[in-house]
Amino acid sequence: MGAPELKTEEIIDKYADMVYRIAVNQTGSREEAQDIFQEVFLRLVRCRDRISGEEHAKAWLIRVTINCAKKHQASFWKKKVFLEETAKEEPDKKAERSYEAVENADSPVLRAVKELPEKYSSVVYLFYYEEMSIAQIGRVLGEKEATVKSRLYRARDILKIRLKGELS
Amino acid sequence: MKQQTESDDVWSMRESYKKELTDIHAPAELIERTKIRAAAEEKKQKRHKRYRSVYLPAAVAAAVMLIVFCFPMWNRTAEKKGQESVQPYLGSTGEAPKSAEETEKLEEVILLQKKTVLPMGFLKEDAWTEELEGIQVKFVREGGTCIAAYAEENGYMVVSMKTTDLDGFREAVRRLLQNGGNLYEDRK
Repeated sequence: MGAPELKTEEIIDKYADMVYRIAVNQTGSREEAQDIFQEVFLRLVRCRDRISGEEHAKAWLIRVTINCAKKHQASFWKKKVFLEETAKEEPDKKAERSYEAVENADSPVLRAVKELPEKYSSVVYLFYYEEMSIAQIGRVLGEKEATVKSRLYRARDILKIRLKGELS
Repeated sequence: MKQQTESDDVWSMRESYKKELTDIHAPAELIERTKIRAAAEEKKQKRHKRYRSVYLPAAVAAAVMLIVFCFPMWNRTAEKKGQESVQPYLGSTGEAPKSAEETEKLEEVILLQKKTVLPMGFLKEDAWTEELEGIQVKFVREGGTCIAAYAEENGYMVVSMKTTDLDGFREAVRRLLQNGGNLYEDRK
């Protein structure tokens, strides 16, 4: 069944959680994730003619969500707010601020993944949560398999060090 | 398979990660809001598509037709304007010529020439002199042409008109003299 055959509402219902999770995974902020969520589905409406098949739609949504999150993180507004906020914040709060997204103290892995560089966190999400193969991740992200493999390897090493003691 | 090849740490991390992410759901209110915005965007897209497929070609076709039909007309108007811009106008008491045809007529019949000496034709026996507007004007007829000449600074102004109507010619010369010998004065 091609994506154009699915109604927009059906696509939103089906992939809402996935898009939202990727956005939270990438940005660490639920507020930002909401903005990204809306942007991604509005883009989908505009590009629907170019998307064929449900698999293609899923891959498209993953890629666009990651790109939107990247763009959002790098945006001037975000940087400005961050600079102003961090200048006012006390040191203790600064450390906590990056975890605001998760809000839940019972999400140590998610917090640690969020702290990874963006290129690592997207690979971790796709490999561990979506259970995609290295080749599939390469196709979705437009990267070589070797690059995906090395990112996954490094991400795993970093997470092991950071989560030492936290995971029993 | 993954479970067997990965260390216990990684496996534990992976399970925790999956569980933490699975607990995250898109808020229902956000989904509803997005659906409403998406529906509005879809309508906008449809309108835009309709515009591109129907109105835009129609507008382009209309513009092309306008250019095709109006360009020769503009050209002709420009030519007429071009003619009007060089035509002479005789006299200040009469009305300024309104149409190109009218001015064309004037252009055909009046010829002004500046001569340093009086042309030999005025020395013929049938030449005569009249006073028009206080100026001595010499007249002579040659075939179907009436010719007049009057003294000006450093020579003579010779006025010729292809007509047999002497009275009309005389009137034309009178108007010319009233206007100080300037055909274009009223045009300026």
